[in-house]
Amino acid sequence: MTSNRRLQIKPTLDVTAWKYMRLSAILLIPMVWFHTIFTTLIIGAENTNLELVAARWATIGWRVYDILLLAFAFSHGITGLRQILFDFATSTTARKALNILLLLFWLALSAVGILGIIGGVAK
Amino acid sequence: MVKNIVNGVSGLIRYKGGIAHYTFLMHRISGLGVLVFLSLHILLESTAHYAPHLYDILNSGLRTPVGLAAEIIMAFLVIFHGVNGFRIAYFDLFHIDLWTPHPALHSVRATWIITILLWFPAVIIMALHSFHII
Ligand code: HEM
Repeated sequence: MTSNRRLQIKPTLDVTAWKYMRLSAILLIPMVWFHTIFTTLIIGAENTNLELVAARWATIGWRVYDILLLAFAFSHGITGLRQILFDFATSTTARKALNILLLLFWLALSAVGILGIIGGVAK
Repeated sequence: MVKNIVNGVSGLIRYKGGIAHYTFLMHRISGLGVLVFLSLHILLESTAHYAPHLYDILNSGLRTPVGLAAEIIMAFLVIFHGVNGFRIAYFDLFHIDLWTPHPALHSVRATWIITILLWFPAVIIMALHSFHII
């Protein structure tokens, strides 16, 4: 039998990351699956083209959806990659360096994607 | 650091934890696979804004046998990672008591069965699109 014990845990970055992985996971299931079912099963790779992207991004709701999906999925993925790397890189120096590299990679690619969606399809 | 990697990776492979261990490994591999895909996906889709004349040219790479195979593998990774990830998040957040050997092992088997059941229809629909049947 497990008994109910509650521990007070200091909210370090790792604890926050652990919680974020699980909360984003619950959110990502409907978001990622709706996105993939719509784009690959309903539309299909054969029918995907620039015109369709432009048509979708003409609606503000689709742009907001795509930005949120990118933000949640990519931050979840980067945090997951951090967890994997930290299993191997155990020294404080290595972890600090990895934190900075991951942060830069995350910010750079998020900016490229999100600014691209905001900018929309160029005419 | 190098020693850590060698020890870590060989330990991950040699450890004899059975199906639960393979499920853990597969969660890592699928997570990394999806992250690599997502990074490329962001770059490809954002050409719609930065270099629109390239969008359709680059996208036609998906309409090849290699593209279809990649799509089928990605579907498996995303479905597995999602089903198994839901199991982990649900147990950790709402049902910590289910992390006992019997229910945990049961849920691992269920994860693989649900993954396969969701993957098959997805493969069929992608193939039908690919051969212009639907
Ligand atoms: C479909 C919805 C998804 C769900 C339900 C989900 C769930 C989870 C969960 C519960 C974990 C374990 C976290 C931990 O051990 O602390 C995890 C890890 C991970 N996820 Fe996801 N995830 C999803 C989508 C994604 C996506 C889209 C990516 C990539 C961009 C991704 C990449 C990763 C990575 C790299 C890990 C780390 C694996 C490890 O630590 O062994 N996941 N995911």
